[in-house]
Amino acid sequence: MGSTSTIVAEPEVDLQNALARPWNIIVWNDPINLMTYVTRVFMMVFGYSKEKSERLMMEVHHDGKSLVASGAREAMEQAVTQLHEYGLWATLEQAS
Amino acid sequence: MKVSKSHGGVNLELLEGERDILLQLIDDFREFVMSEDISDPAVARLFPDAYEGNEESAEFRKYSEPALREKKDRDSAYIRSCLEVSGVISIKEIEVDSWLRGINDLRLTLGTRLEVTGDEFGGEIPDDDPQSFLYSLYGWLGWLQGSLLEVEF
Repeated sequence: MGSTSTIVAEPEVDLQNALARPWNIIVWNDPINLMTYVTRVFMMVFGYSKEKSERLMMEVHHDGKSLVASGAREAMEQAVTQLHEYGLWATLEQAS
Repeated sequence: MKVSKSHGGVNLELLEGERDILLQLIDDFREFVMSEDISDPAVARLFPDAYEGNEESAEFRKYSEPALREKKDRDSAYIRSCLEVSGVISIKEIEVDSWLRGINDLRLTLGTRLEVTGDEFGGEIPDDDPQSFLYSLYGWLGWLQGSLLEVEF
């Protein structure tokens, strides 16, 4: 008796970056953006639920920042651009 | 100002004076957003660094900033087109985010100028403060944005 396992390549998965360290998006607290607005932006940009978006928003509010997403560099850069379109203060850093 | 839910979007009713002020702010902003003077704190706030490192930030900025500037101009141009039509402004569901972003850009610019530190609606400012009008404008924009969010959620 042995065990077998198969794997099928999924076209949407970018294998080229599979082994690279991911990039994190950090959103920083600022005194201007409304809390309900920040929640809405997380829902729109990342497709997160209202509950998750509120939790991340509260983290930004209380801790001064929050890691809101992590992934391949190009996708994270696109998301940061969207966050800047909405006026959030967001930066990128490579996961340690 | 009155914001209410409509079929497939949001209705916004503004007094004539409010409409005029918003039009003027939008026009000022569209001129201002073309400024590339990153030493201006309000420009730096609208176009923040994406990385801690200067080199990476500059590289990112080089290809993302022109599109970001255009996007901000497009949002405010859209708001302007809504304000040009008299009567109740009807904002379609899909276009509410243009309003939210455009009003937010005005709040970011004004809030940076006023160096607001925390109170979301500007707080209590004495009437004889030369900037008291700007503070009430900042508060009004926050109220408008908050109302749009409230009926949307």
